[in-house]
Formats: sequence, C-alpha cells, structure tokens
Amino acid sequence: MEIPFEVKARKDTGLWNAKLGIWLFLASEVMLFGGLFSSYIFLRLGIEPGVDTPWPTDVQKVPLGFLNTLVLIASSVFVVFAWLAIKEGKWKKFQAWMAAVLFCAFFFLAVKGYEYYNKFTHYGMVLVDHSVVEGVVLDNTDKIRFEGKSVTIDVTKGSVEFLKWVDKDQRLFFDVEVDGKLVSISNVASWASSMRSKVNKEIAADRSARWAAKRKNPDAAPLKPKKITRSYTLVSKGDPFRLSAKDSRVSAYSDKEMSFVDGNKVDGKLLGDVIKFEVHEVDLQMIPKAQQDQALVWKLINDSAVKAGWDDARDEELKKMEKYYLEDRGLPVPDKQMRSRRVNVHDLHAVGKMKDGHTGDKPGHDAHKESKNKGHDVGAEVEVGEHHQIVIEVPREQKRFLSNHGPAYGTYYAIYFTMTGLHGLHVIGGIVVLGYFMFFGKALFLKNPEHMANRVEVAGLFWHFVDLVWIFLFPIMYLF
Amino acid sequence: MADSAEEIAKHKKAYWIVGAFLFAGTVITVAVARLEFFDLGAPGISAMDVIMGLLIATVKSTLVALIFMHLNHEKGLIYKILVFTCYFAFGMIVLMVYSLLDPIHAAF
Amino acid sequence: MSASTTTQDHSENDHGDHDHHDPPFWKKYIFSTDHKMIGIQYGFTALLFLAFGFFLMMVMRWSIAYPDRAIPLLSELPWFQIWLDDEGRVTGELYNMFGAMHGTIMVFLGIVPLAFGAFGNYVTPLQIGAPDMAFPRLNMASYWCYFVGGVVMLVSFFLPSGAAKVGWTNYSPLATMTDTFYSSVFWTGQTLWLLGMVFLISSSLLGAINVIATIINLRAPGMTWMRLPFFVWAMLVTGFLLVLAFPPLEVAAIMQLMDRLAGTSFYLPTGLLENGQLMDVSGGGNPLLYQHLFWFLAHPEVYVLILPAFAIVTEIIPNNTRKPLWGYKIMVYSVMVLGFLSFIVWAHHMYMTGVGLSVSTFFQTTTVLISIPSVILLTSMLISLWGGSIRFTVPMLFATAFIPMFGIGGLTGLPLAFNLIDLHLHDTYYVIGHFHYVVAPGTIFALFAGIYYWYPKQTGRMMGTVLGHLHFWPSLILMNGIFLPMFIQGMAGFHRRAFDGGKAYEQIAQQVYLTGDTWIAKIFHGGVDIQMIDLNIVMSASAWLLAVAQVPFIINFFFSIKFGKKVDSDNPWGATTLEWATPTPPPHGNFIVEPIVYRSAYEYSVPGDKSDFTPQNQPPSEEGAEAKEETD
Repeated sequence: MEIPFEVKARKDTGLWNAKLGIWLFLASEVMLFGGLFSSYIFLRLGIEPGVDTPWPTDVQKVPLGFLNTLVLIASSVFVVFAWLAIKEGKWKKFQAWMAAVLFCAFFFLAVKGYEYYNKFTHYGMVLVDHSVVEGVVLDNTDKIRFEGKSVTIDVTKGSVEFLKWVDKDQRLFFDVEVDGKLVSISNVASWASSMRSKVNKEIAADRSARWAAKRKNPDAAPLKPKKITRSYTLVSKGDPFRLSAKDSRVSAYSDKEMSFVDGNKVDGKLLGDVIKFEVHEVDLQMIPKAQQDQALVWKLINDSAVKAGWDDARDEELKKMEKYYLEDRGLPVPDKQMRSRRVNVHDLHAVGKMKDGHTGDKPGHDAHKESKNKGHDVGAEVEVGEHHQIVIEVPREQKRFLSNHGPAYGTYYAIYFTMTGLHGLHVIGGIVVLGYFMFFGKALFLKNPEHMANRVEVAGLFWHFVDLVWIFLFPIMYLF
Repeated sequence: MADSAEEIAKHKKAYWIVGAFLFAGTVITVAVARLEFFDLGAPGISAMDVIMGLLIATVKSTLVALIFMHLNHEKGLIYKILVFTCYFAFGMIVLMVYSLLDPIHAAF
Repeated sequence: MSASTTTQDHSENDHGDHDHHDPPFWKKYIFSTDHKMIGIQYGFTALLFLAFGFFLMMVMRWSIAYPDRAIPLLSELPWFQIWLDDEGRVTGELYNMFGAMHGTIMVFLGIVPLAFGAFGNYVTPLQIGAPDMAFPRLNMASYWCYFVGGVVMLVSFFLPSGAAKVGWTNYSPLATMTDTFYSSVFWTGQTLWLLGMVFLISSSLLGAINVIATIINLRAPGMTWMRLPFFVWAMLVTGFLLVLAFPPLEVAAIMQLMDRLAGTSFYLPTGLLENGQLMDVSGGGNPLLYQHLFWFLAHPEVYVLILPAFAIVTEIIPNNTRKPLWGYKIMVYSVMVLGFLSFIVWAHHMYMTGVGLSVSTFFQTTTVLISIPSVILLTSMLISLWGGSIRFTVPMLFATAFIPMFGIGGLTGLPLAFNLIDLHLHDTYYVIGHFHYVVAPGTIFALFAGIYYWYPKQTGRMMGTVLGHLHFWPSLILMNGIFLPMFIQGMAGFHRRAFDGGKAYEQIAQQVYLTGDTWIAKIFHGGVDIQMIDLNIVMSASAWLLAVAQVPFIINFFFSIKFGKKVDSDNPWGATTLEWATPTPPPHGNFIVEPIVYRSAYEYSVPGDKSDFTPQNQPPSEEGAEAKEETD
C-alpha cells in the first residue's frame, strides 16, 4: 500500500505530506521556544528591585556568541546550496555542501561546549549582606568536610545520601549489629535496600497480627506494637572515612555529627567548613551606596588598597552617570545607576601591587584571564601573571548562596542554560538527520531523486528554524 | 516553490546576498549594543538598544523564513498555520507579561 | 439496528486474497504501522489506564467516606501497608498521591489517548477516504512514546517515594521541594512525573501532527472541506489545540525538571524558606510562571477532552435520528472559534493567585465568550434530535445522555468564569463536580457511545443490546449520584484536598442538609438530620457501584468478539460516512477502490431517495449508482 502524495504535491493544497508535516512540527517548535521566550521575559521583568539579583547583562563573551551566530548563518546558507545541488542531481556536490554544514554545526557545538565549561568552572558567592564575590573556590571548600566514624541510617526509607559525598578513593567497610549479630558490609546501598524490604515486611507482619487479634476479640485491650529496630548504626571497620558534602544536602552539622536531608546521621569530627575563595570580582549592586563601605566583603578581603581601587572605579562610573543624567540632560540619576556594577578587583589589585613582581600560576588563573572586564577599564592592560591573588576565607554562616555559574546561579543562568541547551539538542538532532542523508542517502537518491530532494528540503527547513531561533537567542542572551 | 533545477539556480545569487545581509545584521546588532554611538536611550544597555536589537533580529529571521525557507512563494495553507501559531505565541507572551505588570493590581 | 440492504456488500471472503503476504505477528499487532491497529492499541492501553485511574479514585473515595476505618482488601496487602497508617486507614500522603495520579492518568493517559489516539487514529482516515495516516511510522512512534510515558508513570508508584503527590497540576514550589530528601532525586515520583509528561507530550505532538497532515492532504477525491464529517473537523481542531498548546507545558515540565535536578530557581522566589531554613537556591523565580505555562496548555486541554466527544456524538445522532445534522456549517465555524478562543482564557484558573483586576476582567470576558460556541454546538445537537424518529440503539442512548450531562457540566462552569464567585468556589467540590460532569458523564459517555458504534466495523459483530442497557442505565444514575452532591457540598465550602472528606472542619461538615427523622437519615448515621458530610457516603457508594456497573460492558466487549450478532452488511447502522464503505474489518490500505465523494456527510432521508440514507460515495444519479454496483 502506498501513501498518496508522499513525493508529489497534492493539487488543491499544493503540498506533499512531509512538507505539511514539517511545517506543523515547526509550528509546535514556535510554541516551544515561544514558551521559553515568554518565560525569559516573565522572569526578567518580574525581578523585584532590591529583592532579587538584577539581571546580568555582561557575563557572556560576546565575540564567541558573535562567531557562533555567523557560523550558524553560514551553515544555513550552505544547507540551501546542498539542497540546490541535489535538485540539480549532483550527488557529490550535495555531499560537499553538506560536509560544510556539518562542519559548521560541530564548530558551533564546540564553541558552545567551551562556553559551558568556562561557566561551570567559575564561581560566585552571595554573602549574608548580599555583597557578591565572583571567582574560584579553592581546594573544594564549597563543600563541608567531615571525617566520619559511624553512620546511622533509617532503613525504612532505604536512602543513603551520605554515600554520595564520601570521597571517591576510599573503600568502605562497616560493621553493624543486626538482631544481636555483628554483620560486615561492603556495599551499603544494597544492604540498605535489602534491609528496607526486610524491616517493612516485619512491620507489616506485626500489624497484620495485631489486626487479626483485634478482629477475633474486639473487646480485648489492643496488642502493643512490637518493637522493631528501624535505625541501624554502621561503624567503620577501618580508618575513618572522609566526606565532603554539598550544603543543600546537609540538614544540620556540628563539630561531632552531620545529618543529611534524608536522615542519615554521620558521627565523627568536622574537618572544616570555611570556604576558601579566590576573589576576581566584587559586586555590590544589591547594597545601597551609603552602606557599601561597611559591606561584609571588605572585612573579609581586609585590604584597603583593594577597597580604595574599587571605590575609585565606582566613583568614576558615578561621575559618568552624573555627567550623562544631571549635567547633559538635567535628569536625576536613577538609583539603579548609583550603585556600582561588578568591578574586577583582580585587575585593580594587580595595578596596585604590580611592583611586587609576584608571579604565579595558581588555580583560577585561567578563569580570570577569560573573565570579562567590560566597560570599567580602570587600570591599564595588566600583564597576566603579574598579580597577587586575593583569597578570602569565609565562615560558612556568612555565606548566603554559593554556586558555580551553572544553571543554579540565578534565573538568567537557568534560562540561558535551558534555552541554549534545548537549542543545542536541536542542533544535534539536525546533525544526525543531515549526516544520515549525507552518508546513507545515496540509495534513495538513485532510486527516486525527487524523494531525496524533498527529504533534504524538509531537513533544511528544520535547520533554518534552528538558525532562526539562534538569531533571537544571541541578542537576548549575549548582548542585552 | 520553484520546481525545476534551472529555475532554482537563478536564485543562487539571491541566497548569497541574503547570507551577506544576515552577516551584516549580526554586526549591526552587536554595534547597537556595544558602541556608545548607538546608545540612543541611556549609557549601557537601554530599552532602546533592546528594541533596536530585537527589530534587527526580527528582520533577520524574516529574511531566513522568507528566502531560505521559501515562505515567499509558499502555499496559502502554510501561511494560515503559521499565522495561527504566531497569534497564539504572541498572545501567550503578551498576556503573561500583561498579567505580570497589571496596571490595576488589586490588594486582595 | 436495522442494517440496510442497499449498501454494496463486501463480504469478508471477497477480499481475503488482498493480504497476500501476512506480516509476522509482532509487525501486525505490536509494531504495526496500520492506523487501525495503532488505534486499537491506543484504545486498549487507554481503557486499562482508565480502569486504573478509576481504582485510584475508589481508594480516595473510601478515605473521604470513612476516614476512620481501615480500608478493606488493600490493608491486607503487606507491600501496600507502608502507605497506610497503623490502623490501616488511608493516610493523607496516599490520598494526595492517588489524587494527583488519578487526575494525571485520567486526563493524559486515559481520555486523550482514547479519544484522540484511538478514535482519531481509527476513524479519521476511514472517514476521509485515506488508505492510512500520512506518516504511518510516526504514528507508531507516537503510540510507543505514549506507552513509555505510561510505564514511567506506573513505575513511579513503586519507588520508595511513591508517585507524584502534589495534585495533577503539580504546582511549584511545592512540586519542586517535595521528596527532594531522597538520596536520588531523579528516582522520585515527582521527577518521574515530569519525565513521563515529556514523553506523553511528545507522543501527543507527533499524533496531532499526523492527524492534521492526514486530514489536510489525504482526503479522497471530492471530499471538500464542507463535505467533511463533523467528526473530522473536530479532530482537526483538536489536533491544532494539541500541537500549539502542548509545547508550553513541555517547557514548564523541563523547567521544573531543571528546578528539581539542576538546582535552578525558575519557580522559586527569593527568600523561600523550607522547614524554617532559607533554601539553598539563588531565588529570583516566580511560581506564577509555572501556572501560566501549565494552564496555557491545560485549558485547551479541556477542549481536547471534549471536542472528540462532540465529534463522536455528532456522528451518532444523525445516524439514529435519520435526519441531517442540524446546522453543520455553524457547528464547523463554532468549533473553530472555540479552538481559537480556548487559548486566551487560561488565567481564569488563576483568579486565586491574585492576578490584577484588569487581567481578570480580560479573562473573565473571554471565558464568558467561549461559552457561546459551546452552546451553539450543544444546541445544534439538541435541535438535530427534534422531529426525528429516533432509534434508541445503545450508542444512541449514550449519545443522548451526553447532551444533558455535558449541559450540566457546561452551565455550572459559568459561575466559575466570574472572578468574585470563583474566589468562593475555587478548589471546592463544586469545581470538581463541574469538571467531572464535563468529562465523566460527558466525554466518557461519548467514548462508550463511540465504542458501541464502531465496534462492528472492526469485529463484524454487534455488541449486545441487553448488556448495553445494563451498562447504560446504572451508569447514568450512578454518575449523577457521584457528581450531583458535589455541587451542594462545594457551595457549602467543602475543599477538594481534604483527605478526610471535610470531617476536620466541623462547621462545614455538620451543616444540616435535610432535617427530620427520615428513613434515609436512619440509614446514614442513625441520627435525625442528614448532614452535609453524609453526602460523602452517597457519592462514594455511587462510585463503587459504578465500578460494578462497568462489568456488563467488559463482558459485552469481550464476548461480542466471538458471540456477538453478526452484521449482515458492511454498513450495519445505515450510515452515510465513508468508514462504512470499507470491508469489515477494513484491510491494510482500507478501501478496495479509492472512494470518490459526491455529497455532504449527513444526507439522511433525502426526499425522493429510495433509502433513508445516501452514502457520501454514492454517485448523484441513479444510473451512476447502478453502474457502480455493477463494477463492484
């Protein structure tokens, strides 16, 4: 059985099936990205001044985004020519154009991957007074370090959160007393899940027995529930084990014990919870100008030269604003503009202490090199590698939020990663389809060139749409 | 949609020109956002910049849709589908923003 | 069930030789690309999910009616007891879980697949005279996407966390925070719900694209737009609703998935506390964003649920009144306006969130406007009955019951359209009653009607009439027994999420509904008065009895495959539309000869015609008709 209008267009609609199908699919894609764009607008306009962090507009490397835009546009042009080639019946030419398209697509993904990598290795920390430092966490200190000797698990849940945070290079052996017998365990997760079903069975059996007794003799005093052990304490057989746990998974900790969100309780001793942070940028836009001198971040940095440099940079910017608004236009300066945006103290510091001639190739160095210093050219160009690092040690209670610049860092990052990630998935999908046509399309081409041309056209339409989405993504994510 | 290969070949030049336009559009968008000469509203990023940038993006995407995706000589049915889609997408965006920035925000 | 003798008969034997090479079993029944087989697969899976969703509801109704008694049967199952309290009673957590999954399963895994997947797939290509769907392999992919989504949803019940439990709407931030304490956040019901939804949405998108493309491009020669049966029109509009409304929910689900797994704060505002502690997230998001995206889908989704029901009923009514559908054209335009308007009414679900006055005025207006096309549709059906000599076949019974039931559901929705009234009725049983009148005795009755109506097309046998009546009458009474008291309770202020049926709220629960020492009062609690809360027992008992009332249907369904009355022609109902011009059951490729359409879809009792119906593919002149008979 043949489906009609698979290759030739239907007269009254003028369309063959796949073309109609792809346009319907693109319509749903318009709604998909429409939903994302409206989320973007909703989140951005919904920012409450003074409560939410302002929308960052200068965190992307524009040249990379610019390059990627051009690459995608080029690939879009190439796809048209690939389709023309196959329409003309030239298979080799088609393959050549298609290769160019795929090259562009892979190039695009590579640049995207590079950008993602940089984001994931760059950190930001909001302190309790909302001053923000950006830079790099040193020595894994974003996690709470703990040395455990034993762990208590509620087996009815069967959840073993602590296991996720045990340092990877350790082998764990535990002893636990079950029904008066000492049992050795090497695989905690499977032990916990087997205990879960065992204990739950015991509880159920006990219940059934009590209910049966009650049914038999409703007037008698109800039986007491049997005492069933639900929590077991696993004692480490060998050396104590080291944990470094993410804050959000720890519900409470003290010098002696640490509890996880699922109720796992580890006993031992706290190794450290101070965050070591190499500061690249200081951002005080959440703090009113009058209080910026007392910001917590200055106490932590404890270096008057840095603060002076930062103040100078801010004042210079304020002067610019005052000139723009007050002098040139006679308007009051908006409060938003009165606060300084992020200033790259790394560079300030370097200017101040350049003479020291300190050289070093420390962690975080690269991240700095790529970090942006845009619009606030305070010092002259600084030779990389000729500066001190500003490393602060932040007690955990002074931290409000700490994360790398991944999706969790803020709503901008969240929507950036979601939108570009989904767009990237579309690129990958396009690569798969176009690559399939390029390498395996010849059989169909020889059999029915028109059918093959239709397929290429349809895939091309999809590819143009991917390009079209990026044309909007570039300005809203990179520029504004 | 042109059907014969000869007819399509005539468009080749047009495709290159559109490609060049798209390149130029991208350069202008960056310029609008980054050069102070184009700062029409206020220094830095302003509403004007955003409007300009999105306008250029719209022009670019229209070019892609019309020329590369051959919407300029597509069948009426496709137009109908797309008009509906754009209506709903636009309605979604506008109404969501409208509800966020409602001028009469009652205090319940 | 008078089968007409004037149709061209194709007895089964005549074209047994059409299937020269029988495909292997797995290709014919499992990974089939035949739209009819896929439709049947959809139908069976969806019916199973409907039954499962019904079971969840029965457990919930136990908790509502008897919050202080152990649940029978289930409390004996050891593996189930972790969800019960120490006395074997339903816990709030279980109630929430079943409540959320009842909604999800019924809407996304039951009715949409049955209405749009099964009937849309099976009937649409037949009615437009197409050999198959436009993209048969895509069709198969869409079924298997649905299947995977369903399996993911089912798997979530057996995780330590249980299935999703924050309502079928899955509002953030509650949905984001629930069950995140498990060491694997991925393997929690709440996360799998989102994952399952992504599969279900993809399935619906593929299916809808396929249906639309089929309707636009594969119509038989002569099948112009205004000759399409109304069923096809409704499917077309439903398809567009699915294609355009589902992607925003996909976005919402992906963003909630990010919130749960990647720690983003799309829906989490700044300064959100969890157990009195500041949540370790950046904040800056907005919970209303989720609601906007969710209801942008979920309101059109309501029409996705109801339009196929309209579609089925409009096929059955003219067939059984033996007169044309009244106002075919106005119905077509109405259904288009309905689809159009359904996209701009969504915020009427969000009055309680404190949306501003001008916004609620806008949505109030559009909501009231959308009732106009709905009423036109319903009125047209009602008028179609007028003056006809109605054959009360079993499908017709369900179809006629649909009209008042949907009418009640629709009219009780009007008060909810208004901001002020909605503030009082929001999240009460009134809303539940309203919505369920639309989908339960509304859509589900229409779906039953459809099953009874098209059953002989596939099997060549009729479903039993006696069992059909045994199915219909109790169902009709019991459906009203469940949902009518909900309006009363809802207006008294009963909240839908109270797992004890409102017992904890004495002032509401003990309002007197009927005074006096009546026999009925004695039955309920031996007291003098009947209180509002006693209605819970009426509703719950009706619900359980309704389950029993489905037994005749199940028996009928399976027994009729083997023992039903054989049809004596391919067109047992004497219908005009093209699906009855195929052999029984339709072979792969459907039509023996490509049908040519000469007339509109509902030419019943045309004056001067020798039979009381004129099939769409019957040539206009007598000679033509005879010539065609000869060639066949």
